[in-house]
Amino acid sequence: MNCLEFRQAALADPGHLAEAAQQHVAACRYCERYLAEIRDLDQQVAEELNVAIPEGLAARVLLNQTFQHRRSPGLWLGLAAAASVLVGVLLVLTLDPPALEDDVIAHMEYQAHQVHGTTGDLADDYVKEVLDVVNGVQAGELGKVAYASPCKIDKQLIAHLVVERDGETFSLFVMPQELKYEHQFSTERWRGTIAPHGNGSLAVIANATSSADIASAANYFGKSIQRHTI
Amino acid sequence: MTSRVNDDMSRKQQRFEHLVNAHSAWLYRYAYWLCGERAAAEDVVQETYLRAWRFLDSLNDEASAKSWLTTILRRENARKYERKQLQIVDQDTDEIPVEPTGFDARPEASALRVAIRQLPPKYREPLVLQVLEGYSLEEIAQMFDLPRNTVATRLHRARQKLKSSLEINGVQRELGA
Repeated sequence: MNCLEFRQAALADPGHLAEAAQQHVAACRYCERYLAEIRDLDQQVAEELNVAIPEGLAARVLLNQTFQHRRSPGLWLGLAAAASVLVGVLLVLTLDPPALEDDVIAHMEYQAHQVHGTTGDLADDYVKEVLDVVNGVQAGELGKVAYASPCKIDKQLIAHLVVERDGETFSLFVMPQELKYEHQFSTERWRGTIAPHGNGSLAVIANATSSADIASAANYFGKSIQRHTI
Repeated sequence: MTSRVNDDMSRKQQRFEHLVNAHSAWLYRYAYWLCGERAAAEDVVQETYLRAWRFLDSLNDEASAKSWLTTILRRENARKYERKQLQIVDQDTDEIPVEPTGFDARPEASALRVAIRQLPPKYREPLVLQVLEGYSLEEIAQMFDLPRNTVATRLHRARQKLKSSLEINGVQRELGA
């Protein structure tokens, strides 16, 4: 290594020299002095970069997050109602264990109900990013996607969308959990279907009072979202 | 089942609070050197953490949380402030307000800060990552999706420019003084 090569390496990363550079500087007092100058410069730069943090920044970040995701006053009432509703209103049509269905309904009651009524039209690239989390891809028109976020159901990552189509609002859960047969369910607040979808499953949920044709919607959304085989 | 959902949310909140307490200071400093102003930097940090909350379940390795947050911040900044470039090249350097990190009236401190702010973003960003947080060339290259040699060249030019700026301003700090 010559002096020019050494100086290039020193300017790129003076704190972590390769072995060849270390051998060179040990034998060259001019480069030794040059390295000292560069390291001194870095020390000065670090002092300048180390600007003061605004007081209370962390607290404001946490407050902002809490405000954005504040639980509704009715949440605890909703949870109590859901617990009693779940006792006798589920319709199980197959021998698949009901746990996934229970988890989907609980997720709607606990969290998803807050966003089910969201309106808007998210950018396609954002929706793509959320679907990508579960190896999903949009293969056809969905309608207006008002909400999209990854969530967890039973510790597995799912894609949660809220879609407006033909005047009706649907919550969609694109899930990795496998299913053998379709399930339909109805509670005091929700009705929907969970069906096998690729190598996972797809839940399509509407308000209990909605006049939407769930089966037709499930068929439509099942074709509009596809999954990559892992 | 409902208690499991409760537990999940509680764990998520705890994870998030840890991320805020552990990394908000670094993110603010990085945002400040991207945006060039305090209010904008705090806005970007807020947006970063909101996005991090929404995608927190996709963070599988806590050890990579800082890099993950830094990447989110870069994208948020690019989305919001790409059109608002810090324009100080044509500005009289005497008029640029210098916010002190502590009491430092040395002439070379102000000149160096101006020089850092005048660096093109593509030189300034990797310099901040390397000098302030000790990121390696490989880590920076991965974060920016650039070849290692490109990052090395940008850091090399950043330091050359800073060194030249200090020399032009006639400010030399005696080693060992």
